[in-house]
Amino acid sequence: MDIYLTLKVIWWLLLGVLLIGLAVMVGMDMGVGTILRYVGRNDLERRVAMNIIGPHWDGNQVWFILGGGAVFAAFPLIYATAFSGLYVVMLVLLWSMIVRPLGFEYRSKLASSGWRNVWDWSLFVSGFVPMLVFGAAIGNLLQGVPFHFSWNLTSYYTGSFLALFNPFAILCGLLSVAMSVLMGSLTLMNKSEGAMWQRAQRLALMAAGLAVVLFAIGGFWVHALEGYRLVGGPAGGMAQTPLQQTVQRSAGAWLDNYAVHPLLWLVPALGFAGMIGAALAARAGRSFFGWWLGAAGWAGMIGSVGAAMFPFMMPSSSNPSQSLTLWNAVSSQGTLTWMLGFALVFVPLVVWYTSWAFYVMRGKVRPEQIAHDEHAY
Amino acid sequence: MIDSTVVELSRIQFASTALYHFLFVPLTLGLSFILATMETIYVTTGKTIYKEMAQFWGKLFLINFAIGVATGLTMEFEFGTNWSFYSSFVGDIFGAPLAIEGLMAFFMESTFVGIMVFGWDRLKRGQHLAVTYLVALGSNLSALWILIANSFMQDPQGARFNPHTMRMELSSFTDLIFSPDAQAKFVHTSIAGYVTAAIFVCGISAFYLLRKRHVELANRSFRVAAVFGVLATLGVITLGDALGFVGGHAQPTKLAAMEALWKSEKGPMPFSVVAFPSQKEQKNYAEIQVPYALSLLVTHTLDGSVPGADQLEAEAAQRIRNGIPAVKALQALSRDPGDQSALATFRAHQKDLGYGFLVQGFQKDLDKVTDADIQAAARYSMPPVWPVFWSFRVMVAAGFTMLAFFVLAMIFSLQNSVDKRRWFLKIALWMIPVPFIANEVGWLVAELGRQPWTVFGVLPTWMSASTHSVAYMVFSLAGFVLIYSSFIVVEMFLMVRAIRQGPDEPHGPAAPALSTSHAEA
Amino acid sequence: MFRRIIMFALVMGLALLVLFLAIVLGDRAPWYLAWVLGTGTIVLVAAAGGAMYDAQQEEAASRKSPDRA
Repeated sequence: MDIYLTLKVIWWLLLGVLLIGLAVMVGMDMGVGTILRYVGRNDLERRVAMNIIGPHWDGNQVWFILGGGAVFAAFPLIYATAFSGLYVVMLVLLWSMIVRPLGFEYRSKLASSGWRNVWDWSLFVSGFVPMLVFGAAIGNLLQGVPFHFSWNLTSYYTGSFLALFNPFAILCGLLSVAMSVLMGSLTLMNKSEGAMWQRAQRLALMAAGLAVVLFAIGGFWVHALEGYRLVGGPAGGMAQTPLQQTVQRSAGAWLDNYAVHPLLWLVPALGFAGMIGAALAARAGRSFFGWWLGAAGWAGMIGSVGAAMFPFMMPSSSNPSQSLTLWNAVSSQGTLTWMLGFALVFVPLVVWYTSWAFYVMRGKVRPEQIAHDEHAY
Repeated sequence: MIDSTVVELSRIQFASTALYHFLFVPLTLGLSFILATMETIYVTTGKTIYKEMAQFWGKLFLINFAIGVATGLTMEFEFGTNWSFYSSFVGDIFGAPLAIEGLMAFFMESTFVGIMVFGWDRLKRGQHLAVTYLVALGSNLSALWILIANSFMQDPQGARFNPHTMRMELSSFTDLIFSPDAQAKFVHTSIAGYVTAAIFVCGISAFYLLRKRHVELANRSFRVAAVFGVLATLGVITLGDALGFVGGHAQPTKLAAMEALWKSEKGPMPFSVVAFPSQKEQKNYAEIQVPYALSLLVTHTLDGSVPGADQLEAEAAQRIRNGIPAVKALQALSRDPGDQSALATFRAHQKDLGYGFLVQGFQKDLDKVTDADIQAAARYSMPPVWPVFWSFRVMVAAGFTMLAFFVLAMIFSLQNSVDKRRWFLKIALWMIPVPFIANEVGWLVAELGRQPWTVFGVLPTWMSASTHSVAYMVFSLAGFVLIYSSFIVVEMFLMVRAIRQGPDEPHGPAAPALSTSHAEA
Repeated sequence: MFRRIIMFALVMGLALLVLFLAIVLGDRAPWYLAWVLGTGTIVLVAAAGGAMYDAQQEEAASRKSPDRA
């Protein structure tokens, strides 16, 4: 039993790591997409920006796919309930995301400026919209989503599509866009020179400032938000379904964990420190250092949400007692064990060869290289 | 109860997005290894023309790869968005290979594909070759894990139902990944990708040879692809036979549909080359049969016999009767997880749980199930026969056509006479669609033949879908049609344009690059 | 010398790994093993076919040139 409990918590933490990986790696590419038309004033500049992330966007995007796969494998009920319940939002996310690979590969295949403009805008949409939806989804999870289960765990979503775009969710969505713009700008600063570097620096400062403000507002808002509290049900280490527990809603309940373990306040503090540090580093021109601080900011933000919600993952606003927690939505012990084995072997391997790929492609990207390189985007 | 229109629309959406995705995937699987082959020749012989070949075909590879990645994202979403009950019911087993696919294979493929494209001038020759091999290996390992997941739907190995969590759970990971269906299906599909790419390279090389453009590059590409294709086609046919053998035992209903067998008979059984099956009348019109052939093909003996639809229907009816108490016991367990007598009843009947679900498609309330409901559900347990029967025949015919083509292609290429045989070059050009058609109908045989189940014998399709409204489904279908149609237009336009343009530096026959002391370009 | 010893050890390790995999796969997963061997064969034979093209061209060229000389 204790082994199962430990595995559940480990996978909850691993999912957090994956979400942070996704936010940092995919977020920076999407940020570049969002600001592409601002930092690149002419075609050659835009191509420089695209080629900076060109060799890596595909590998980075796997974080997203892996995130989806890991939720499916480790928390199948969350995958099933969230993806079907938020159907229209998920499709908007998907449709905006599937344009991106084509945008990268196809944009520079034709010289026509009309063609390239269309793909530029599609890269903007496929950078801005997914990050907005990503943040808004987390915002909705914090508020709870209206769904319930039948006796055999068929899920029914009873909310409307527009209700998912409520003010709190939009705040979270904008926060996530701001973070992605910050990371994208820092990435461009790392590998560009001259006017583009300066524009990226200006954007990084603005985005970091906006993120700090939005994160602070979000923090106060959560005080007033109706949180969820698990008041009864099977022990965490037991195999169980969401039909067997009792959950209460009350304002401020999301701060329970922080009240019990005050050390947890360090997590949101890390978020603020990371964002402010990234801004200071960007101002000092130390963008490489700033990138890592920005990543720490993401980790602090996602970590604070996780710390607030634990053990909840997807609360139900219409039937709180059927909320999905990490205790009742998780996979079986056998699956978690095997997956952990694979993760222990392959995650370090992935980190190693991703670093090698960045090492191979090190150095600034210069316009004259791109003009002569037939492989460039 | 899920609206049956929603189920049908969900099936149409899944099938069309999967078929669309599967237009691009096989070419990626095969072309990556052909690129690796060409680059191997470049690195071992030092002849730069092979580098140009690898780069030119690499450009076409990327146009195809981008859309394959994009449409693959859809598949990752769609289990959750449209098949949510399926996802929660078998996610414990089905999700694992998908997650491992991302971690082990897709990461590798995607990270190295960037280096493969951008790294020509930054890596040593041997390093770049290794990167190309890693891309090829990564894309095929991706296919491995996806097909392990798919094989679980065909032949659910390594899983058992847990009444405490109301879902299927993993009982043996090794049974799951080493299931005979997974093995045969992976090798069959991966090598079908090799065949697809070999035909693609042969066809486009033939286009250049017909126009007398890029002759040096086209002749060499044709040679490599012809040899590659001959061996690969032999592999596909061997594995197709193995898959039929394995699948025939795991899914007798699929086999009966593939062969349009309505009545069980004693072996030796004849093989119907042509028939016009009628599901309503449970018989065939205008059959043309080859004696002994079916026994030989499916049982690998001369007088083996295979059950027909009548026998399978009777077995299904029996299993439905046995499955009804299992579902009822499960309902009791859902109300009270501590109910010991319900648990005992469940254990006694659990192997037919899926058949109990199946009849609920005809009568929701299991206390009111009549014999007529059971008969209807049993008849419904056969997949639609004529599309499976004909898809199978089209696939096999395509396979043997391609084998004949490759044998000739290899002979002509070894004689160095292929560029003089314009009739053959024209055939090569017209062969390009054949493997794509074969891949699509192959998917249809596998997945239509699995109906009416999502997980064979365990979970009926009608139960698996998400509880959406028809309006949602119309919205999403319209979106997919719009986006995917524009995708294919753009992709075909760029592909044809890149082919017409040809390699960047045209190699005249007068300038064979033989320098072995090749410096970085 | 030291590098060679390391290379030797690495290659030996790889060979042992391949042997081990072949034994395990051959037992439980004959078709997977067939895929590994088959893909290797297809790639190598196709590469040899390509290299043979160049050999044929060179041979044809050398057969022609003495006539002209």
